Amino acid sequence: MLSRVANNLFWIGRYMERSYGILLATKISFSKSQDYNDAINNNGALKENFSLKLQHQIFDAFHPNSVFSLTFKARENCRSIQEEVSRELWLCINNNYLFQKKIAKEHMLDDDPLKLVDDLLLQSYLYYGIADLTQERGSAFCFMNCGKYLERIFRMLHFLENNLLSNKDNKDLLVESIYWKNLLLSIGGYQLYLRTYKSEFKIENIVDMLVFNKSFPHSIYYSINKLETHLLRLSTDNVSNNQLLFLMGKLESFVKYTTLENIFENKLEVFINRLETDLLEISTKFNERYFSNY
Amino acid sequence: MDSNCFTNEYLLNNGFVDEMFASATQVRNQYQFLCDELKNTPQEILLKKEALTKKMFESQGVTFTVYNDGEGVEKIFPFDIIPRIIDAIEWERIEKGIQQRLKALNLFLKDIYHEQFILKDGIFPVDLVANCPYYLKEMIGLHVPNDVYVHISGVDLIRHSDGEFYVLEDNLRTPSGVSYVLENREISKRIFPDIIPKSKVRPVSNYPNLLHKKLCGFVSSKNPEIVLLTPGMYNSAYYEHATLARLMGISLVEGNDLVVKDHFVYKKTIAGLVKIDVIYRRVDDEFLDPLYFNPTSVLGVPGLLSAYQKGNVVIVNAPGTGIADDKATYVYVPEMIKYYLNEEPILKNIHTYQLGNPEELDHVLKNIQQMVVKKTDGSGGYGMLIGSAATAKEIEEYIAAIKKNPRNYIAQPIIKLSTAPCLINGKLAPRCVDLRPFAITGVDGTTIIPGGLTRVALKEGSLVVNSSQGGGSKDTWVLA
Repeated sequence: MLSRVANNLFWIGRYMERSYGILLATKISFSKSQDYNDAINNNGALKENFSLKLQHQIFDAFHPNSVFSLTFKARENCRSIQEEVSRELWLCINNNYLFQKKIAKEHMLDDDPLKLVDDLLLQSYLYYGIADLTQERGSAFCFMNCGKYLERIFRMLHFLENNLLSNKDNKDLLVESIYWKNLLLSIGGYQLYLRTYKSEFKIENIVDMLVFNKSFPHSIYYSINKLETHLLRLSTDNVSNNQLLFLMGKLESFVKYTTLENIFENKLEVFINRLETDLLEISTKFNERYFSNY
Repeated sequence: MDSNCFTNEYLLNNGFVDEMFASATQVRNQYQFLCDELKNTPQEILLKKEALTKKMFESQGVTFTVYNDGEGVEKIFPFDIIPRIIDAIEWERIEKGIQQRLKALNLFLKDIYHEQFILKDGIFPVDLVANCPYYLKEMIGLHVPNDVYVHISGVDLIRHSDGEFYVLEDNLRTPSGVSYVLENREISKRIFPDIIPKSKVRPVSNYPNLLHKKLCGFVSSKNPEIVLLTPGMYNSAYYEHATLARLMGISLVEGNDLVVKDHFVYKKTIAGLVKIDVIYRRVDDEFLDPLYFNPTSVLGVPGLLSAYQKGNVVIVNAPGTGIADDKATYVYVPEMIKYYLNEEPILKNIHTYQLGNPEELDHVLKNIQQMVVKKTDGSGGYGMLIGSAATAKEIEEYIAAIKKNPRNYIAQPIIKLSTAPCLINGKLAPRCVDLRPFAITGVDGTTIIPGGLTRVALKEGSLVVNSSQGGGSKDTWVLA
């Protein structure tokens, strides 16, 4: 496979995953902004206008990480390598892009902004389903998935960093439970959390689920395993992959043999930093190994 | 400006209190934000929003089943998009009133199943206990955890023409409707963005979490196993059972999923039997345990009651609470509050005639045009007579039925429920409403979620708000 093609596939995976994350977070931030609470809303001072926020995060063509920009880039990447992916996948990405373009033009935002986010989320789910069902398990599939899982781990790390590191001294139970509920919803893990830990919200439980849960498709350990699987599959190519696989295996073992107690003894921050550093190294090696000829 | 949903003059019903309008032109304080928003919303946008809510209910699967002639039909609970708003001061009174009432009712249940002081002191008539089908002899002398019989309740309130809230009935068995409180709010957030935080509406979404916590309080083990027992998907409130189980993260079980062994209750799982600590049951007493009650019931679990009697499982609400929300018992609740708590009732009762009493029967029959007559064991608005709306023939037949067994009936003067504006064909029009706040009693007392189900009689002039009788609902906003 051409390095250029591989690079495109990798980034399709990353862009689609990123836009999915943004959509989910946007949906919950709306719902959050509509819950009145003194502690959350700072004495009734309203958060910024949701429609404006939506405009920025979703439709702003000048914002490199708006959903629209990401979809545009994923589509450009896909358009130039159409022959490598299944026909259905290309059509899905293309239609997603056209759909957004049409909405942006027609200002369909006015009536019910959330309906729009829901529709776009549906496009995301469609993408995941189609990729899974129609793409043969060859190198193209592996590159897309490497992009997807790498992006997902980074997203989870940022999530932990932004939401769990700051010390919250608010002891109001109601506020707390709504706060945690929204957090978990924004990464798609609320239902699993309830089934596992019921209605007791504890930072330890949340970290446990986001980092170690083996069946939560967004957990760090799950994603690391998947990333490793796809790297291994790619290494059956002629060129040896040793250094990359070594780093990957090391990271996998590190997470596997870290306990929840370890994390909190050495501070969550240290754990997150370590993971970020390792991942950056892997990502650099990945670049060197597969895309440097391009 | 485009036309909005306001008519030149909101037509107040004569003699009815309206929730939003103090007079035809003056809007009450708590409605101000909403009112401004509505004024600035063109009628066509409002109609679009209304159409959107129908789609949302459908796609979320929010339906209930109505039974008529033995045939079940899935329906959407009609939803009126204009919320009902209650200010903080009034809510506090409602909250205190319900807490007081539930405290007394729980004490009553404990008393009636133990020493029966209230009978000995002649406050509560012995024959009401003796004749009540909901009084369970199996519960006599039984200790229930923390003396809480009624954990979950939905007391129905109405605002009378004097502006005060009155209790219409206490629903202490398996009250339903709380899922609509949650669902209605989610929809309001979407159709009136930003109005909820601006108006400082208190959130209701943590009801399932709160319920779970309160239920955990009744058992000592650290991670109690709680299940929700449903009669199954043909029950009219099945959607609610599934929603609550999902939002509490607990299993939704049917009778067949449970088994009793050596007086312990287990659920049958792929990993073997798992012991159950708490059962939040939405199955009526009668069907709970075929060994004790209805022997043909397949909804319950054989042996469940004996496991309960041994203290091996907590059943929520406790069996036998029906005696306390029997329509004949209702009359005595104010007396109970005085008797057990030595307090004046905060929420008043509606004057109720016991037709078992010959004098009261006579009075009611003479004034039947101004009366609502209900069966004491009926619910859901079935089998009641509204004197002013019935034909002469209907009244005649009903009277004949009453005379056969007067103890089965009570009567109340026809009450003027308050009205609230509803969007009817794109314009605001007054319709009668009631209010059902939901309370959870745990070991730490009674908590009421700030909100509740406002049911509305969507037919013009109708006083019946039951969903089975063409009623709908509104989101209920309680302001901070």
